[in-house]
Amino acid sequence: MLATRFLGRKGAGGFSRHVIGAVIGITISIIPLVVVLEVTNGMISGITQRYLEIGTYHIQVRNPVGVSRKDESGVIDIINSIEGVKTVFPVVTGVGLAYSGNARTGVALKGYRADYWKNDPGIRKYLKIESGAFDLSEENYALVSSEAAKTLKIKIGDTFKLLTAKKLKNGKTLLKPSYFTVKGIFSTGYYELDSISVYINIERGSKLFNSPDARFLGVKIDNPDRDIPKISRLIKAKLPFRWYVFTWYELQKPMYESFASTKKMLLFIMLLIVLVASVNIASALTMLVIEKEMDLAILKSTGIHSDVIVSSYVYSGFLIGLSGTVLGIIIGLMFAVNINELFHGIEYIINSGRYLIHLAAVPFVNKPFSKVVLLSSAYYLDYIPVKVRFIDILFIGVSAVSLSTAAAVIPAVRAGRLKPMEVIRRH
Amino acid sequence: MSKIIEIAGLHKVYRTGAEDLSVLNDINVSIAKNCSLTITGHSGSGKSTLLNLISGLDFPTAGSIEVNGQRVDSMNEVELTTYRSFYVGLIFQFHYLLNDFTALENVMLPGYMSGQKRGFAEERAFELLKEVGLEERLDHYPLQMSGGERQRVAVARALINDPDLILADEPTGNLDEKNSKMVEDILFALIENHQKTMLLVTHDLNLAERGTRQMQLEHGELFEL
Repeated sequence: MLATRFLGRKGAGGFSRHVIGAVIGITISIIPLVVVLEVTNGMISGITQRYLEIGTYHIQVRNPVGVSRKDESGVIDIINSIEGVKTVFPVVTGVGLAYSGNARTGVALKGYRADYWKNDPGIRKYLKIESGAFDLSEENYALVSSEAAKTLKIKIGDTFKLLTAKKLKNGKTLLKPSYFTVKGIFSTGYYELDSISVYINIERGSKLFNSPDARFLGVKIDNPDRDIPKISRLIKAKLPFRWYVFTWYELQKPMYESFASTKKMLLFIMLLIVLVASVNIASALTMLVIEKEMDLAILKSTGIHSDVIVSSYVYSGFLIGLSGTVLGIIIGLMFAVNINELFHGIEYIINSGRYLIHLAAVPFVNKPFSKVVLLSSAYYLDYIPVKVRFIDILFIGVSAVSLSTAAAVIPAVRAGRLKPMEVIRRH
Repeated sequence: MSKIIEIAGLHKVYRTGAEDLSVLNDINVSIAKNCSLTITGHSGSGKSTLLNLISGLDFPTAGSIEVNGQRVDSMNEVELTTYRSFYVGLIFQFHYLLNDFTALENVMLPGYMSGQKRGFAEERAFELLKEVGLEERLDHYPLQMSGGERQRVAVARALINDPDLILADEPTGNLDEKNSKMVEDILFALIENHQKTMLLVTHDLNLAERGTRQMQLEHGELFEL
């Protein structure tokens, strides 16, 4: 009863402007916290999912000494027989130098079976064929990432040269040129995976890269969020000697840990903003104590205990924090779930302004108009996936409300210590 | 008749810089239960100081104050809170109502905050406001009321915890003649109806004459009239 009235304007109804300011302060500090955290979650999840489905796969099974196709086929059958395994496929990896006309770029090659696209829903979900088709049916067919295609200035049907290094039995290295026809141009939406990727037929890949560690088995399972450790253990147990099993987490440990620490750091920095905003609460309540000191003196002179006044002010801080936090979370979530539309809106405004300036400058500057693109795979992802995690929202809420309540303690104690006689004399 | 207040050798000296200002000088007085004692005196004679000392809002320089057998001058903060809550009701010259609370809430608040059930405190506040003739103004805020009405709310508030002792400091000092008369009548009627002891300080001699016992404070000393 006292707490809610303490937040009011003295005799004027409504809320004190100090209180409104403190609520707005908390709200404003919570909005970026929610947006940043949920967008970070989404981006980490988006990048991780792409790595899982296109980069490292869920599990890799390797044999460092190399095996015959027959043995490999037997191992594929063993892994396929494990419950929870979705698909197993051989992959060959290597690097090369691609040429087309005067353009050249280093490329990361992956050799897949022609039916890989058909058998793996994961790649169909995250790999976008921008033009052409996922056609690796012939040994000279290739799929090129949009970034590599841009660098090499090639399109569907064009041929490019690939220079690869092959290790001979005598230990020497032979540089071998090969020619490929572009059958498809793809994008994963993530620059790191897109920039230099070229997919070729696995048999051709095996000829180009003949070292045993170039070929391995990729494994996709039904529930990668839950079952990777369990299934990797089962695979290990069932496979013969010299087969090694690696989970995506082991293969991308530095990246995964860097994401986790980046998220923690962001959270810490953002909580500092909330801390600053909660100082606002302390100053708002201090102002309220000063404004209402006569009321407090009267309450104390009528026998109301200091503890009641202290707890009422602390509760006021809690109410301010709760209101600001709830508002901030609602607005923050609205921003977060519409972040892509927001970016496109900003893009539109920037480009409209730039276009008007361009039109005005045309007579003087002979330069074509170029659009500003805020969302591009060149900046990590071309689409920001947002993942709302209840536990994060709960953490933000509890932290902000706790900080706000804690910030109210000093002014509350000050209110409790007011000497009624001194205040009455002053007034 | 049993005593409610026993004051002995009471001194109050204010230190203002290098000078000491003696406001109360060896006050000795006993006040019987259910008595209404009025104390007159000119401004600065120490009337309000005496009330502040008895209410525990201020502390004496020397001497003792006993109310209902309890030493007020040596109470700690918690004891003083209990004392102010249950043993004394204060009425100031200015109403000092909380502007953010209605008349009913202003009256019930000290009761509710000192442990009365909300419903009980509301019921009691309503009864008291009815007694001071404000049953139609329960939901009005102080700023929506006249000076006389506000002071009547303050009178009702002083009685919410059913204290034995009412301390009134110039309760009509801020009111016009008509309102002063009304508040006086209500105050004395309430004291009589509720069997309370009242210590009222005023410089209004007509008001002082209504007390069952009258005293005067002059140069820090208290005289029987």
